[in-house]
Amino acid sequence: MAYISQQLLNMLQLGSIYAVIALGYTMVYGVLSLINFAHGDIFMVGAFLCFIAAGKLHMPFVPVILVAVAGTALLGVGVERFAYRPLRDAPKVSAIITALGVGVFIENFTLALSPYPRHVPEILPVVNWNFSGLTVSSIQVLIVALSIGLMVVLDFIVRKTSYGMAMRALSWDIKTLPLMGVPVNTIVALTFAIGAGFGGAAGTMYAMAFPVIDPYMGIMIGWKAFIAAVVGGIGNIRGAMLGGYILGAVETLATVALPSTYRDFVAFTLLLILLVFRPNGILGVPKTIKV
Amino acid sequence: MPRLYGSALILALLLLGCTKADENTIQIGVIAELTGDIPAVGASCKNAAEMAVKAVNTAGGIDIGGKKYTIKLQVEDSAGRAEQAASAAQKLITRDKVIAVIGPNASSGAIPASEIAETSKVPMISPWSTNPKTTIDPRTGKQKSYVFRACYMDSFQGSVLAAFAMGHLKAKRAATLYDVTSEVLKGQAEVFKRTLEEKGGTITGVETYTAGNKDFTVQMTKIKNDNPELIFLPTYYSDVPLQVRQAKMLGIEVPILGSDAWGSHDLLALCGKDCEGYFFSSHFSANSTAPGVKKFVDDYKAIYGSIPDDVAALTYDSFGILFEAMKKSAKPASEDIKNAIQKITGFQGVTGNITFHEGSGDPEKSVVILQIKDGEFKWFADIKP
Amino acid sequence: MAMEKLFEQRHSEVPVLLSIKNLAVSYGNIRAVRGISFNVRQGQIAALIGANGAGKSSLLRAVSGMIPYEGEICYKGINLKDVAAHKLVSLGITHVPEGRGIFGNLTVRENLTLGTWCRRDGLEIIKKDYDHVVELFPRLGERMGQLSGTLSGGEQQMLAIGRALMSRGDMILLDEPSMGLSPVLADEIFGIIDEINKHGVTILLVEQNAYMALQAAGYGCVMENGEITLDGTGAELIENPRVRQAYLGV
Ligand SMILES: Nc1ncnc2c1ncn2[C@@H]1O[C@H](COP(=O)(O)OP(=O)(O)OP(=O)(O)O)[C@@H](O)[C@H]1O
Ligand SMILES: [Mg+2]
Repeated sequence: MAYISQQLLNMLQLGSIYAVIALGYTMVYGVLSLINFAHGDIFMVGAFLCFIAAGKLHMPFVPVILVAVAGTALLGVGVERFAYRPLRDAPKVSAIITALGVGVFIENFTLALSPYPRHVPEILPVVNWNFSGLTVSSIQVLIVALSIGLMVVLDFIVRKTSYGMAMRALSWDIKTLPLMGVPVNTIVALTFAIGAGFGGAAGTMYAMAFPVIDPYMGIMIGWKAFIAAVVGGIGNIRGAMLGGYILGAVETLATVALPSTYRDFVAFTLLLILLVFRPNGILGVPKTIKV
Repeated sequence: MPRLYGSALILALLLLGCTKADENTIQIGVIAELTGDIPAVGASCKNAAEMAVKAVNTAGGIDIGGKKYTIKLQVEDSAGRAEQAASAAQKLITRDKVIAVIGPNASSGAIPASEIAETSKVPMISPWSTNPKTTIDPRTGKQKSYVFRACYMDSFQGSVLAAFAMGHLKAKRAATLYDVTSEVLKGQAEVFKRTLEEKGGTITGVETYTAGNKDFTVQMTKIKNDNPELIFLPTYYSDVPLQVRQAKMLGIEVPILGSDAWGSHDLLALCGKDCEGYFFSSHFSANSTAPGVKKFVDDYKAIYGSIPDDVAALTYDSFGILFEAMKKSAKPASEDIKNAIQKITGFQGVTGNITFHEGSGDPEKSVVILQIKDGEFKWFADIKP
Repeated sequence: MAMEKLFEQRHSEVPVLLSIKNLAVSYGNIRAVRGISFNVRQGQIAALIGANGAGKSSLLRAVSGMIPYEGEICYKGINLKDVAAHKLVSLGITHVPEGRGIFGNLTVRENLTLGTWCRRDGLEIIKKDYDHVVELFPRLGERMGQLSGTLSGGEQQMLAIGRALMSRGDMILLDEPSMGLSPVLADEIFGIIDEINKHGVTILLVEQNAYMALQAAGYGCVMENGEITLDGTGAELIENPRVRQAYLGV
């Protein structure tokens, strides 16, 4: 019993992290139909900012996460401004290639500064609670709670605020939006800031749970979160959350039941099968032809 | 006109200088993992190599058949990748015409590089590769005659560690977790399992993961559920801190035993306090009292500002073996050097007393067990075969 | 020529709201608008008629800053050349684009709210404007929470006009408001356009339905191949034999 609950908790922790990263992909895709392949690397930068703030500047938790989120948000806005905006009217392939290029650039930039794995010190004292065999650590609680909190806030922003409304309108028709007096570039920048900021938040949480970080850490997890976003229905916020938790569950179950060599294979096969039956993801709707 | 003569003279001198330098210089190649997953390994290797060569050159070079030669190092990066290690070996041998190669360290690179060394008939000594395939041709099962290593092998290490687990640590039930993408680590885990079971112990579970993973909570939860008395963790130093930490977070209190893959000083920084009290096998201990160790450690520290790790020590010994063999050769030829290495007995290196036997590239030497204590690697025991 | 002078004289006392001088628009090699000049005066309904591809929509797009252009467009005496498209709304220009430009993934209410993006006056006043729009288009009132993409074509057109009203501009550019509407509904829309105009909003209207447009318009232009070939009061143009033959089909 304790064993099963322990694995469920592991599932929840992994799923939360995937979900928060997947949200970054889905935000940008949902609004601009652009797959920001640099997102995994933005996540990595978030972890490194956490390392700098906590390890070098010895900041406490709240400033650390603020630095990581603000830093990555700024990075996201910069990437959009200088890499994606010039290509906004170019074919999608160019944007995708640029996105991959930006990712490689960020990796190598970090690699040049810090080629070695780094240890992120404990930002918050870790407390372990024991419930008849089930061990719950304060970090797990924090990660799950913070992730869910972030998702609720984001869902609110997008559904209920005027900026969220402008983002949704932008995703429908970027050409007409200025006619409403909405500054499109500001909305796009805001979208990137939020998407990248989520990557930064995820990077911080990841660095707290798994405190050895390196410049390549964003690649695999970035791909996985991207797949989580696609499975949930890319562009759909609730879909990204759902996809994150599904991927976390599938991976955990595969690791429990199978040798690790099969884990990614099984997880990805399951997801591919799911996509065959629901090509737009679980919550995704086929894009309607506009006007 | 005089200027023209001048130029011609300089040119002639240069040419003369060149040929002269070539005659008295011996090129030795080093293949190190300078970038990639284990850059700390490559850095230690390069440091020790440069230090060893500098020592010989400042002492006036090396005496081969009554003639002094200066050593010139050619360092190539393998990036920790098999194909790049192979091309580095190819480049050193065909372009730079090196007389011998030291490296690569990781078996993933050492195995392909050894094939090239063997076919090109150039001696190669891998300081750190513990996989049998480095010195044995896996297709024919025959010993490669030009390939050596300065370290002991996985099979030997795995069995000594199993003996240590049961003997010193009194653990009969052990779990293992290792990276399946690494041949070396897989080999260590398998030998450990076999030996432990032969000695009457039980393996409660074999957990695996693939390189790049950072979340081991699922595996650790399984391990915890099986209730072992010890966890054998033959994993690289960059993964160890995460695994140890996640074990602790799950409330796993049993001792953890590592292999030589732990042996990098970065482990201490990456682990924080999490690895205190744990053991791992090593090739070298900086606080060993064996002859030559103190001088080596002091010299290394003076130049690079840090204590040498086992890669540095093994690289240093690889050069020691090579120089020893060169001195015993009649002329600076690869063939002669190879024969001389095979005859080395009782070479006192910083990693122990090394003996080679005819027809084998694997040395006979002892295993050092280190314990992490007060944020340092402390010598715990020397275990002889 | 004489008629034009007469026209200018008659209207010269009303100030010019929008003045277009030598406007040219090109899409690559295609020259859609080729040097057009005309004025729209305060409080006027100005109609722009012309065959398909004459460049009417391009002209409106240039005015609302959606596409680059050459020449000069002045609104309330301000040269619009360097004004960003989204800033024009605060200046008072509202554009209901060809094809309605509603946001299908937003509800009817959200579409209306987007129209108020630039408004800084209180929620109270904005609330009154919602009521006003619902009064004009009762069908929208019943569908406030519906996704606007699921509205019928006519309802979407109403929404587009309603949304334009929400921004309380001084001038509305309407691109084919009667497109795809039944004659009864088209009639209704023209009635509402008149109504809006009576409240002091200047209107620049592009229409295929030339007869209705010219009837409503105080001033009209005929565009052919990117140029204005005729202009005058709506009534004058309806009487013009060339217009009658080419655009009214009589
Ligand atoms: N984005 C574009 N790229 C290239 N050509 C364009 C573009 N938009 C319009 N055109 C061309 O410019 C010309 C004028 O187009 P415009 O839309 O202004 O015509 P219109 O008068 O509004 O026609 P309609 O009554 O059919 O709406 C047409 O020949 C059209 O093909
Ligand atoms: Mg048109």
